[in-house]
Amino acid sequence: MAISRDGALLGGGFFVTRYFALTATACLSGAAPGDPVELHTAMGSPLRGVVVEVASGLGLALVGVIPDAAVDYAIPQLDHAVKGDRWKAPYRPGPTKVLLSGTVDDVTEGAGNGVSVIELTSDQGPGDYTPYAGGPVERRAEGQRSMVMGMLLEPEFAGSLRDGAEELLAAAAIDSVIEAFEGLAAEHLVRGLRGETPPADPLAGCARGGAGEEVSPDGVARAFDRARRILRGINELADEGLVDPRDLVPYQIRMLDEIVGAAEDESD
Amino acid sequence: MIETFADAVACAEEALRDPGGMGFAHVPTLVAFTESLTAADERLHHSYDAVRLGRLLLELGLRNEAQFLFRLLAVFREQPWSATPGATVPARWLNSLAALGVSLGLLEETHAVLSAAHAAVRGTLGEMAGTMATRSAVAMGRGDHESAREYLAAAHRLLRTATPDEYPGVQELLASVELRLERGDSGEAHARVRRDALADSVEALLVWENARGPRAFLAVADLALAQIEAAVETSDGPRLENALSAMEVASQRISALLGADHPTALGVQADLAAAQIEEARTVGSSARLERAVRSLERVQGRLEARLGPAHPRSVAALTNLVTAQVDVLRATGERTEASRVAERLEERAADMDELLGESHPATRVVRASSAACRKISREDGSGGAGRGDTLLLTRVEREQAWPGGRYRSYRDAVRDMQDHADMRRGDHDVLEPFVGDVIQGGPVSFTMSVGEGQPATGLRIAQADPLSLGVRPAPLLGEADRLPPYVRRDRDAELRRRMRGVADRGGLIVVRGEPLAGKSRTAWEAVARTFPADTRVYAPAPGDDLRQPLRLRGPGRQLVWLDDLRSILEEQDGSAELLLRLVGSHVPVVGTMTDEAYVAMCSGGGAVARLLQGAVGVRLARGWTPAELERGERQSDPRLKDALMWRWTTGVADFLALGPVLWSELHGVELTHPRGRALVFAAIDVALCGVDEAVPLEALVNLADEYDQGPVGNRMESVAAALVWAREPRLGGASGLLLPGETKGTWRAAGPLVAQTARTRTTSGVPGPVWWRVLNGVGRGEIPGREAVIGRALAEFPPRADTGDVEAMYILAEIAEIFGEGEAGRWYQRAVAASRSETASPSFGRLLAGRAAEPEAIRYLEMAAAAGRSPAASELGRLLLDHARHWLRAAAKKGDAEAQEIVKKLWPEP
Repeated sequence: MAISRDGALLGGGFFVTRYFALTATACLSGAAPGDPVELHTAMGSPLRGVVVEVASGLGLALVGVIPDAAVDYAIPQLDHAVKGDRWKAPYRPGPTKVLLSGTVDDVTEGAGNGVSVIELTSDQGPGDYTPYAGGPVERRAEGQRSMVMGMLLEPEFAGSLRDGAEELLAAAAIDSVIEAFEGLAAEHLVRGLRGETPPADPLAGCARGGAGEEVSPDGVARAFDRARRILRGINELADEGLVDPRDLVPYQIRMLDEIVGAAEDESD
Repeated sequence: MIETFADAVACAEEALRDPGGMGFAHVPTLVAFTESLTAADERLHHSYDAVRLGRLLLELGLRNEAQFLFRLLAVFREQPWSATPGATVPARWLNSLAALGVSLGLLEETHAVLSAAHAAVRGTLGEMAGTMATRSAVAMGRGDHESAREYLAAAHRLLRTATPDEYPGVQELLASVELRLERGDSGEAHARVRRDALADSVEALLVWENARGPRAFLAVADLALAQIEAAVETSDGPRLENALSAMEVASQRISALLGADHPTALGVQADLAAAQIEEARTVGSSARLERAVRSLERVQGRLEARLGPAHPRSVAALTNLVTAQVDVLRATGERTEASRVAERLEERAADMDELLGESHPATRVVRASSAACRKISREDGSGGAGRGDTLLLTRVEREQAWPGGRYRSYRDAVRDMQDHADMRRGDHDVLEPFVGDVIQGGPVSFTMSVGEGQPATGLRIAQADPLSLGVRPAPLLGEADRLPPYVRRDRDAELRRRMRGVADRGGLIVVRGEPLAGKSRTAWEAVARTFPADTRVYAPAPGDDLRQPLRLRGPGRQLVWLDDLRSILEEQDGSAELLLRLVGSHVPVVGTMTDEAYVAMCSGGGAVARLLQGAVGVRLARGWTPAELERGERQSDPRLKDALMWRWTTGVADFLALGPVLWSELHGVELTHPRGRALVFAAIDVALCGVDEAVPLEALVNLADEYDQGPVGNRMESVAAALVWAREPRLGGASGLLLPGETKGTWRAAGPLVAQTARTRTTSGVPGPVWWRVLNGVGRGEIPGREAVIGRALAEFPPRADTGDVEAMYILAEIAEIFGEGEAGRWYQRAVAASRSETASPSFGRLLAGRAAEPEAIRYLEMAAAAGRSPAASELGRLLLDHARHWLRAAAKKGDAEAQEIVKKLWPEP
């Protein structure tokens, strides 16, 4: 899922439900709760969203999605990590960067700030993986669909949760990530079910419907057409001098990764 | 090597934490341990660890082993209770066992367990209500709505004095069952009231339970499903979307907490997928419908793998899936695909037929779906196979357009099939959709709601029940509270001063002492008197999440209560570290533990030792000081008076705590230790006859003949085996049913048994023959306490004799004979005069004759013989014959010829 604002691509994220997505605050370019953003599904369908909450301690933000009945998109299944799981991080910060994968070394609940830490060993060996921070960590098992277990932490932040360990490759367990957001808390959900708050629609009162002029059609071919259009739009941003072209490559790659991943999910 | 259930639980937990590593190696060991168990294994008795092991085995995918263990627990349960009056079973344990049974899909067996234990269940109000709620839910699942409503009403009666926020887990389950029992039977307005009640109970649950745990999100999912059903019923799109949003979050959070492949998480995912199918139909999105169907297909496959194909969850998900697949085919009209699906479903139907029987609704629906697919594949006017002969086809015929068809769910299928005159009810009991129908999904929180009992988690001090916090109940006495008034201990002032410090600054305070010294009661009284009444008490049981206090939200103060701190520290890895964090966060923590555990753990090193060494400690003695005894004597509660009278060498606190345990033990083993039981009854009655000293074993063995020692022909255990059983210490070594006396070879009954027996009888209640034997034993010097026994008898029997009690008169005559107290002849005369022919006893007549009371004996036996009692006639004849011989010989000796003739004829000289 890609996030843009006023036509400018900001970064990526992933849906946790049909109505909510998670992203790194770094990807929001300073957007604050209440600010509208545009979302683009892996198949290229546009959706409208709004920044709902920011968990500054984790560097993460919750984005509310205005559901569009006609738009279909995959929601990754969440799961909890267990020692020994094989993992991969589907997002990489640039085309020259490797895709990270490895094994879950340990899971420590409530390590700090209430965050449960998944300690990871990497097949790629030690290194500075700071730019990968904020991306999801998926369980990857032969013949099984990917499931999101956590989000990669900045090594410095991860170290602060584990007695100052250096070069620690770790992720925050997805449940403790979600727990940081009031909008996904049980009390909030019950209030929504009672009609006291609108859990399904963070932009209650706004006009409904897709953000773009078109609504997502069915079929992989048309989804790819839409993706092409968005990627062209990204290039146009560079052509217009609005962004530095060198900064766009990682986002273009990330989008392609998402599209391929989604297509794989579709075929599972 | 696993030797105990606690070991097995630890292994299973490690295997779950580390399935790819060393933990996996535990699985064969766990299987071997489970297979080695038999129904006679005493360790199964009310074992929470055994139930927990069953749950963990299920989570590990060892379904057959979990089922085997459940059945062992159910069978073991029957042995001591079914034939023994007075036996009890803890409600919390029973609830846990029932939850395991439901998780395994064994509704019938769970129902049987709950029914068999019904009369024996004991527990706190919340636990008892939880049992009733469980019975209601299980009855609903079996389709027995009438019983479900009765149990529901019973649970409400139990909770009639509870406030809405008490026992939130039970109240939430009740509201959920109530809503579903009434669905379709009342209007939308009434249904809305029920949904609001469910929402209220879920909110209360979130306040008092861990609002971030799986239980909380299961409750949310349950509520969301109720809303989704209502939205579909009323075609309310925005409301459906709203509820679906909450359901998605709840499902994801449960998966993240428990694991996406956890059976409970899979159940919620199945419900969510079904709800998404409904929404896709509502908005007419074939892409979303296909995605939701794929999702349901995947989850259904996992449910079958985890729970088995016959589990109600798997069956319901399958029926939902096949009907949705028909929808997809009807939407796309792909004939080739329809043909393929039809074949696949026909195979599934054959499987279902074999598994559940052809009349089971699920089998019918799958077969009907296959036929519907076949029909779709032949939409060329040739007609469909089985046209109109199944529910689904009937529906399909009626509802041609898509979307808009009404029939979607397993629940609908069952309801319509029951209404259909031509369809007989099948052999299977699970006709009602209980778990997993398309919209409803059943009360998804069911397994969690009923399983965990009601620890006083999050309750305020003023509302908390000390019994649920580990304070042991005293013997039941009429309408009196389960706890007698608190008697101030000498260490109270010091304890409360230290407790106030902990209340102000946080930290750990440990009340320690010997087992049954009264630690929990004393600690709780100190808490209640030093902490503000609105302080919330979090009381985790071993295995509960100790991080919850760190996460609990809400106004006011908190207190962590850890009764039996040892088990928390021993049974949970990392618990000491977490407690150190709690203490470091200035959270007040109050714990109790035995001296032995305290000393061992303090010297053990590591975080446990650091925790205890930094704690404030107060030690409580088991025996009461003279000042404490004096304060106890000032209390009017009869149980305290009993304790002071009958405690022998034990303390007052252990006397009170031991009562229910020993009583239950004595009345629950009739079939296994009849002679041991008879020895104990004899010792109790000896004490009630006034003997306050220990009695020689031989006297007890003789006396035991007066008690039932099992069916005739059964082999009785040896005296040694009986004694071993009777003296075996119960409740952590505190006391056996028999206690050794000061002199070797002498024994006395445990004081609580004597006191409780006395309380349950109007008089001493000692049977007459036992009195007679005791009096004779005392007379021969075999039983001590001569003066006390005579005094007790003379106090008890004259008033009874005055009311015409023949047995009392006879015993008074015996006392006169043996001890010279009173006039035996007078009592014999009165006894005969008061006897009625229908109750006259030949043996009494014989005894009268032997006591030089022959005229009374003859009168008495004539009365009995005239009433047609042949033994009395025989006895009378022998007596009269003796008389005749005596007088005839006397006459013959004096030369009476007629007498000589008779004597010669009847008693010839050899």
